Amino acid sequence: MSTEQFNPFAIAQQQIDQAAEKLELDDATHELLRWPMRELKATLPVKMDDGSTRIYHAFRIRYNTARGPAKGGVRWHPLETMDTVRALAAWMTWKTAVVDLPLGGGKGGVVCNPKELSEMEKERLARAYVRAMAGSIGVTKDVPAPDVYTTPQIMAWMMDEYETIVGENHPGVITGKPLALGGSKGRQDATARGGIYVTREAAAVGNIDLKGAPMAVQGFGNAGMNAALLGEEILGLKLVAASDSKGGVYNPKGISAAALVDHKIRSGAVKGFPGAEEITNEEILGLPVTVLFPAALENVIRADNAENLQCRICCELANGPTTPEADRILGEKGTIVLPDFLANAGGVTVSYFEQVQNAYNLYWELQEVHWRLDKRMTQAFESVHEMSLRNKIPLREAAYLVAIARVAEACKLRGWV
Amino acid sequence: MARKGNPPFSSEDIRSTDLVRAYRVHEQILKYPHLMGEIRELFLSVLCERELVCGESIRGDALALLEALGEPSEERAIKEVTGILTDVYFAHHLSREDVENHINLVRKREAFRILTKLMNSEGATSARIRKAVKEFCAVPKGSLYIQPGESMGVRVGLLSRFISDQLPFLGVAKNHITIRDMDELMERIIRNPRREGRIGGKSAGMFLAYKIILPALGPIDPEFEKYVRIPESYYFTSGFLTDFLDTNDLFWLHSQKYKNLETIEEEFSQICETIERASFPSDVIAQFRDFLEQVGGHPLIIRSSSLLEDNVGFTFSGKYDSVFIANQGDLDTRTAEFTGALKQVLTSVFSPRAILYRKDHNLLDFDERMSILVQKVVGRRHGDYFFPTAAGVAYSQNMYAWTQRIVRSDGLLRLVFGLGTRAVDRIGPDYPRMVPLSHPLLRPEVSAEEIKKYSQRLVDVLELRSNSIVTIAATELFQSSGCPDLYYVVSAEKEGHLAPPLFKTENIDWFSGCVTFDNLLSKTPVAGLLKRILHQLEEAHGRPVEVEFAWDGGILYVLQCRALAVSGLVGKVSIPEAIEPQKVLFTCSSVLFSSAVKDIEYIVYVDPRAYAAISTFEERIAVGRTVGRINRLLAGKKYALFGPGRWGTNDVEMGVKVSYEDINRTKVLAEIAVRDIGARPEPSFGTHFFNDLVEANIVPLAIYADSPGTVFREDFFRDSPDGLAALDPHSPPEAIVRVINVPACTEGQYLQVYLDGELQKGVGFLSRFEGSHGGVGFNNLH
Repeated sequence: MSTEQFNPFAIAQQQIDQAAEKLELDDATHELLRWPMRELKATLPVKMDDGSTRIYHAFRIRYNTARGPAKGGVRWHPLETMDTVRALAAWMTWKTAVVDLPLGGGKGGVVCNPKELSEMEKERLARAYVRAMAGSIGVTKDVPAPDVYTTPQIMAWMMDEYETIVGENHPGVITGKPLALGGSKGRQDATARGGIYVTREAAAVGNIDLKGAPMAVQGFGNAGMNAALLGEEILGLKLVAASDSKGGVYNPKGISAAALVDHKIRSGAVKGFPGAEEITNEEILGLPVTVLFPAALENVIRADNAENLQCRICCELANGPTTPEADRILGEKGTIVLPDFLANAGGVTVSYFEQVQNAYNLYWELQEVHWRLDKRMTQAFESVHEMSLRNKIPLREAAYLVAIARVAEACKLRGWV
Repeated sequence: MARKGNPPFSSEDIRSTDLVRAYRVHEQILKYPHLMGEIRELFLSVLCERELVCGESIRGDALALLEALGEPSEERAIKEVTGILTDVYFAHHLSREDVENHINLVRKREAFRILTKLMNSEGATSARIRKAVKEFCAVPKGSLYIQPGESMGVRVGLLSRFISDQLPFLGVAKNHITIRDMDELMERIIRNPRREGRIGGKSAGMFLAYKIILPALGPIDPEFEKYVRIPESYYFTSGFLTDFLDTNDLFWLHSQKYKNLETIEEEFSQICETIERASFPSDVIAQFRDFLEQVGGHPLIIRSSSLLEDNVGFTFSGKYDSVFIANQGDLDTRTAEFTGALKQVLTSVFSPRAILYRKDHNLLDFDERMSILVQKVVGRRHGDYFFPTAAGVAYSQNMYAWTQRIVRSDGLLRLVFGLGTRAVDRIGPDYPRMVPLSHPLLRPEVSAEEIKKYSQRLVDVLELRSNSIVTIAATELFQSSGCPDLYYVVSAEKEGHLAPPLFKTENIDWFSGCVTFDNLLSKTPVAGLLKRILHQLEEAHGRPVEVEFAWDGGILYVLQCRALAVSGLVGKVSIPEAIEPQKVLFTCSSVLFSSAVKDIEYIVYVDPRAYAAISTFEERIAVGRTVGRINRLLAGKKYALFGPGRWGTNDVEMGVKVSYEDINRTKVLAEIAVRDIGARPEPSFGTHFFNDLVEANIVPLAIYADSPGTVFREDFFRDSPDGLAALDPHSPPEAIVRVINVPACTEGQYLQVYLDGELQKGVGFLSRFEGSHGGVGFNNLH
C-alpha cells in the first residue's frame, strides 16, 4: 500500500524510445518527439470569497501540433506537476493520431485543490487561467477540454472569458461544454461506444462470435454502464457480471444491463441485484466470458492474476488497467487486448466532433455523431490491426507505432526534420 | 402643573384634557381597589424617578389645594388629595399605555407574591401551582416586567417541578424560560389522572432551545421570528408510564437493569411480549382518544423523553425508540396505533442497549422514568407519502473540515431529503449532504460522477397507507411525488453537466437527478439561520450543541437540542517531532479533533483484504460478533480497534456490522480505506453511533491506506503473532480478526496515537510506556 514515486514523463519518453527503435526513426525526429514543442507556465492571482488573494500556478503544454491544433484537457489537482502534464500531453498526441484526428496533443493543469474552492472561486480561477493562456489557446492553436476535476460548467466559464477577450463568438475554443452552449450530443457514452466499435472489429478479425456471448464489466461507472448497455444493444453480448467498488454480481444466465443500471442508480451499487450471485472484484476477472471490459482503475490486471483471465477480448476502457507484465502474459495466452488509448479514444473523437460542429455552427443529430464515431474507430482499429499483423506485435505496441509514425510523418512533411 | 421646585399648583395649569385623562386613570385603578395604594405608590415613584415631581412638592400642592378648598389640612385629607394629584400628574405626563403597563405591573407583583408563597409552601399541589401560574399569566404581559433577579426563584421552582430537576438544565433554563413560557408549556402538558410526573429531557431540550432562539423577553432576530418554529408538541408526563406499569403489576421491571447483560438480553423478548399484552387503564385510553380527536389525523411521532435523556454528557442517542405513526383512519384505529407506539417506546427502557449504556455511564441507580413527547411530524403529504423537504442534524462545532478554510466554530449540517432518520443513522451506501456552515456550498466532491456517488440515493418517508416508514429510491420519489420543493433538493445531469434547476417549472430528467440541496443552500436562508441558531444555542449552553431540525414549506423547525460532552476542540495536542520512521504504524491526514491515546496494549485488527474476500452475508455478520466477543474479553485492557470501511454500518459490504456494545471498551476506533476493497470511511459525525463514541471517550480515526504520503504498516497488523489464544484458550483461531499483544510483539513497546485536529495530522507509533492516565480524549481536554 505504499506509493512508489515515479516520473510519468520519463515513462512516456521510454515508450517513444521503444517505438522510435521499432520504426527506425532518425535521431532528429526521435528527439523532437521526446519533448513538448511549447510549454507555458503562468502564475494566477485569484481573489477569494473572503477578500484575500491566492496565487495559483498553472501550465499549458502543446506537445506536438504537426497534425493540427493541440487537443487536451485541463486538470485541476493539488499534486499537479509539469512532468505529469508533459506526459499526458504526449499521450494525447498519440491518442489523436491513432484515431487519425487532424489534431495534435496538449494538456494543461492548475495546482489547486478544487475541494477547497467555492463555485465563485472556481469561476474566478477558470477565468484567470484563460486570461493567462488566451494568447496561446484558440480554435487553430490549442483547444482545452474537461479533465480531472474540471467540469462542463468550468468549460463554459472558460469559453465565455475567451470570447470576452477576443470579442467574438468562438465556442470551438473549448470542448466539453454544456449542450446549451454548443456541446455535442453523444458525448456522454462516447468512450464506451468507441470501445464497443473496436471490440466489434476485433471480434470480426478474430472470428469470434459475439451474438449471445457473455461479457463482464469491471467498474460499473459511467463508461462501464454504457459499455454494458451498448454491448447488449450493438454487439448482442450478454451481460453476465459487473462490479464496482462495493463488490460484484454474477449470473451466468445473463443480467439485463438496463435493469442493472437502474438498480445501480437507485441503490448506489450493483450488489443486491436480484437473482445474481455476489462475487468480488478479483473474481470477476477470472470468469468464463468472451469480452471483459476493465472500466474502473489502473493496474487491476497484474502478473498475479493475468493467468486467471478467460476472456477472448479485453477491451481497456479504463486508463492503464493492465500492467506490462500482465500484458505479456495475456499476449502469450492469445487474449486480444484492445489497448486503452485506442479503446477509450471515443471521448476525444466526440470532442473533435464538437469542434467541427462549433466551426460550422451546425449541430448534428445523435445518429450522425454515432455514425461518424463508428467510422473513425473502425478505421483506427484497422490501421492498428494491420500494423500488428505486419510487425507481428501486440495491438498495444502497434497502436503506438501507428500513432508515432503518423506524427513523425507530419513533422517530416512540414520540413521540421 | 407642579414640577419639582416649581411654584405651587395653579388652576390655569389644568386643562380639560387632563381632567378626562385623570378620570380614566382613576376608573382603571378603581377596578383593583385593594391595589390602589400600591399603584399610586408606583405612579409616584415613576414621577419622582423621571424628576417630574418630588414627594415634597406634591404634598405642598395638596396643602395648597386644601387651602383653596377651605378644608382643614388633616393627614387623611392630605393623603387623599396627594393620591388624586398623583393620578392627575401621571395622566398628564404619561400615555394611556404607560398607565396600563404600570397598573399591570402591580397586578403581576401581586400574582407573583401568591405564586412565590405557594412554591415555598410544603403541601402545594401541582394543580394549585398551575392555577397560580395561570392567574399570573392572565395579567397582560405589557412592557414592564418583574426583574429576572426577583423571578429566578420561582422560575427554578417551576422548571424543576414540571420539566426536569437536572442541575445543568436548570442552570441554563432559568435564564431563558419565563413564567409565561411555563404557562405556554403547561397548556401542552397532558397529565395522568393518578400519577404526577415531569416532561423529561428531550422535551425540555427542545423547549429550552426554542426559548433561547425566540426569547419571550429581550431582542429577537427578525429572521428567527419569521422562519423558526417548533413543531406542534404535546408532553405526556412520566406519570402515564408509571401508572401503566403499576396497573399491570409490572413494577418488577424496574429491577431488570441490575441483572447481568446476558440475562437481560435473554429476557428482553419476553418483556416485549409482556408489555405488548398489558393495557392502559380505560380512563387513560379515553384521555388518549380525546387527545387524538383534538390533534386530528396528522402523522405523529412518539418520542421518548426520559428524565435522564439529553442531559449534558448523556445524550442516550438512539437508545430509546421514537415511533412514527400515520394517525389515519377512524379513532379506534388511531388509538390502537397510538397506544402501540407508547408501549414500544416504553419497552425500549428495558432494552439491553439502553441498560448497557446506563451501566457504562454509572446511571443504573437513577430511577429512570420515561415521559413521552408527541409531535406532529413536520412535512406534507405527497401522494401516499408524508415527508419534509429537508431534515437533518446540525452541529455547532464542525469536526468534518476537509480544508483549513472551513471555520469549525460555524458548525456543520448533515442534511437529508425526507425524514431525518437517514441523517442520524449510519445507513448503507448512502450519503447525506455535509454542509460546513462557514462555506455552505463547498463540498469535497468535484465531478458530476463523484457528486452523484456521494449523494443520498434513498429517502425515508412515512407511508400513510401502511403506517410505516419506508425507504424508497430518490429517483423514484422525484418522479412520483410531485413534490414542489424538488427545486431546492435536486440537481440534474445533462451530458456530464450537473446543475440545480434554474427555475421551479424547469423540465428535469428526474432519472439523471441527484440530491445536492444546492438551491436550498443558495436560495433560502436555511444555512444562515442554522449558523446563527447554533451560535446562540452554544453561547447559552456554554458548550457545543447538536440540533435536529426539519425544513418544510419555508419554515425551519427545531426538533431537538442537546448540549454535547465534546469539548476536545479547544484542546491542543502536539504530535511528537522525532518519531523514528520505522516505528510509525500508520498516519492519517484527516483528523476530526485533537486527541492523544497513550500506551495501548492490544490491537484488534479486522483484516480488510480478508474481510473483502468473505463471500456470504452470514460470515460477515459473524465477524461483528467476534469483535463483540473480543471486546468483552479485553475488559480492563487498553485496546485499539482497526477494520475496513465504516464501523457500525448496517450494510456488511461497507464495513463490520457492530453495535455500541460490541466496541464500547476500545480506546480508538480506526476505519481503514483500501482502494477497491470496501468502502471509504464516512464522516459519521452526527450519527447516533458517533455520539456513542464521543460520550464513551472513544477516538475515531480514518486511515486512507492508499493515499499518497499515508503510512499504513499492513505487514505489522497482518503478520504479528496472534494473541487471541493467550486471552482465551478456548477461542477458535480467527483468520479475519486478529488480536495483537503489542508489548509482547515489540519487545515491550506500546502503541501511541496522537491526533492534531488543527493541523489535520495523526500518527500511530510504537514507543516505550509513556505513563499516562487514559490519554487525552474528548472530555478531559480543556
